Amino acid sequence: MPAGSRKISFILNGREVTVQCAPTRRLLDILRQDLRLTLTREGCGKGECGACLVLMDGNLINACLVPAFRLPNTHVVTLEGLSTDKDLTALSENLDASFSCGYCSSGVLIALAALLQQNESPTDEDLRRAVSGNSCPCGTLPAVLEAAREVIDKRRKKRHGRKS
Amino acid sequence: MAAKMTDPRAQELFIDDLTGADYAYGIAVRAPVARGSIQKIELPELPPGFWAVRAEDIPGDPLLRSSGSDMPFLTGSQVCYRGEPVLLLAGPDRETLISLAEAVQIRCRESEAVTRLEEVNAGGLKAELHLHEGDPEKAFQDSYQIVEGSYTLGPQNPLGRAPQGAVAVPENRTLTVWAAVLDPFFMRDQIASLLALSQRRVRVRVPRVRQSREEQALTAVLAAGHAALLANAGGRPVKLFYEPRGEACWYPEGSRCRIRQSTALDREGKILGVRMEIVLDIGAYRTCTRGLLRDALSAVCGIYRCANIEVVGKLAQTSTHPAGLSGSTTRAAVAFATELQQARLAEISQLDPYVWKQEQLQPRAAALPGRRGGPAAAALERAVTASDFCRKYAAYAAMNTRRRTYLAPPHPLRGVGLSLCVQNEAGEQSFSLPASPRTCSVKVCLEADKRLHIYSSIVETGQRRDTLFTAAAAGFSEERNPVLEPVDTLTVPDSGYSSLEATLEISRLIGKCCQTLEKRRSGAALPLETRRSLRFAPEKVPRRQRDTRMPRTAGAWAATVVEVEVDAETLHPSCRRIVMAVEAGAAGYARAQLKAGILRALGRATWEGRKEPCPFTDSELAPEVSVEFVQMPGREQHCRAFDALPDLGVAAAFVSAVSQATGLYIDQIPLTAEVIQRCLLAAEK
Repeated sequence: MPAGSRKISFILNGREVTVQCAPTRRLLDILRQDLRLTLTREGCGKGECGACLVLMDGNLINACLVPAFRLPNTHVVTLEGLSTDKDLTALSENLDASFSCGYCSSGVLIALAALLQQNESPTDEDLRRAVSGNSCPCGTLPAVLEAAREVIDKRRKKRHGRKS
Repeated sequence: MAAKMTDPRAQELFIDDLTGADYAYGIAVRAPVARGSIQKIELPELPPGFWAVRAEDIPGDPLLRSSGSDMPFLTGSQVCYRGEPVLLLAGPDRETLISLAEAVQIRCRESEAVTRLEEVNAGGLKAELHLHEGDPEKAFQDSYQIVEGSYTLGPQNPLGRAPQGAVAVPENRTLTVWAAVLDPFFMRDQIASLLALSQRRVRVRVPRVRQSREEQALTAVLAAGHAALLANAGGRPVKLFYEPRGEACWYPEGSRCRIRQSTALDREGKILGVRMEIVLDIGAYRTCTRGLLRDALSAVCGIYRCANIEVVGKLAQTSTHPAGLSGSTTRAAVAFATELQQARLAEISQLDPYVWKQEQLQPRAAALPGRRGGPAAAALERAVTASDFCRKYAAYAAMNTRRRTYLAPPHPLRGVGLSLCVQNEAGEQSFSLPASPRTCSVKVCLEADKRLHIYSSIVETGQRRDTLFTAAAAGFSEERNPVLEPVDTLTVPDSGYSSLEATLEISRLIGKCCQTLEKRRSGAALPLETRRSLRFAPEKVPRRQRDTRMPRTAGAWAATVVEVEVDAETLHPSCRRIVMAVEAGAAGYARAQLKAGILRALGRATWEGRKEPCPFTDSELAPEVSVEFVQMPGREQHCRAFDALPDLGVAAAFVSAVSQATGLYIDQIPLTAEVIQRCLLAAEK
């Protein structure tokens, strides 16, 4: 056990979890190594690439920049916690072919899911802004956004059809 | 006893996602100097549960042996490049491990390092290859004009993020290694040799990863070897990672090379002969072969007509990270030089590059036998039309000639460039097609659950394998979804390096296996098993037949037009639009992949070897990219690899466009504002 470690509790994906760790341990390491939630990925490790995005109290945040002492009384949601989200599932299935190595996919998906939770009919500009904190070294983001646009348009048409 | 591994097929796509309760972490400690001899290694006191492995602890062959390679897994005395692995550490806690690694002192007697190709002397040349066709001597004697060019490719941005690593699990006198690699049997043999174990006692398993840097053969084998050494010494599972934030794993990719090209022209401007010298920087160790050099040289004339060719290829050793060279990166380097030379020839002939390229195309590229238009001509036509190339080229050329000074014109400098390329199809030279014979094998079982199970060592890349294998088994009655078994050297037959060609051959074999099972199944007890193997030699297929034999690979052609704008004050080049027309058969589904490849290629051409991703990978800054597919009659169904087309075509078109925008001869990538400034100063002198 590292020196100075202490028990830290927070809400993760709707359940309270307690971890014993140093107060400076990164949320990313807590998720990946201690709790084995590996869909939050480590990219640049300095908050620039968005591979480790999670929702913290409803806000998108880079897990590599959050120390453990910030966690008490917060509600963290990872991609695993959104697996029942229908919008996310539809996005994930349709976007899969657009990614190349797929390492950034978790961060992009969670960013798009967060957008769709707030805005059901985002514009192209909204989509671009949503993933502005993500970077894809393979260069797939333009294609991913095109695919996301198609999914959102289909969903909108379906809902309009149902209403009429 | 090792903990049970989570099935990585469920969600874990990357080695870093594999987790186990009793895993120790492993890390490589690297050399602090570029060249020298190690005097002393001072280790801090290791806490209980931590252990170290040095070069002298290696029980078997310390060298990574592939054709031509002599790279040690750990260096014992001589350091040949900065960041060379010297020592391995393992322990249960990752943070402690990193701080221990930082506390290791490696004392070296530093010697002079060779970091640039210009500094390499005769002793640093590891291989040389001379090839010629026709009578280049006479062609140059008879020539009216000789045009010379010198082209340089520097370290290019790797653009990768997936951390590299491997997991080694010792259990029941065998060692299981989880690694992302395209040739799992090669990795197994290397690890068995490293640990002095029999091949039966080493098992390599490949999780379902998509295309990523983890697959690079030598780096993957090195990481797997390090994990295996630590697991073997510690007797417990080790997850080794190359620290993603560390400098060592961010080495630049691409071919670092220098190319000199001379073209002999007659009075009418026709090409009589070509001379080319290519010096490839292989880094500190010989990690590539003469075959690779030969592969690069085969692309020497691109897709242009030339009867008299003389090429000299050299492999030069420097004190830099071993280059991750492959056939496609070296061909891309040669294609870059050839296309820029063609652009220069077009300018000298005072012709639009479109007209020049059309006139110089090989007969085969310009028109297929018995058909009106050829694939290259069709791609060229489509790209030029879609981008309005000719009008823009003329307009920018007029602007350029009217400009009085390079510096601070009142408007941004704009230019447009055009390039042509082909993948998987060599030129007309007789020394082309260098591939060696290989064997592909597959095992197909009809299990008790009445489902087909397919066993193959071909590693999935970009969903290509799954699609082709499932399609091949579609003829088998009652079969809907065959089970594609995970790649595991214990269960699958060896098919060598995973490639499209091997995937296609195995698809054919799966079809035959299904026919055999269909015949045997009536009244027979399940499970039923059948195996098929095929030894094939791509070079034995006459070039003329390559387009008609299916489903063998054939060439995919592309024409690329790049529009650029150079800031008149900062000289920063930015890309406004890219249009690529591709003739690759039924590849319509791949538009997204090609667009991503184009952005990556643009990044490599513009972003000097740095750790940060290039700005074009940001959705806000990416230029407009459009991909047009050209369908040729009779070639629609040909399944052809096209993934290297962006690397082959984008850089040359980009540099040509910047040359037109600035009015300077620019002959190198990565192309940055600093390079333009250097060229500007040289031109003003």
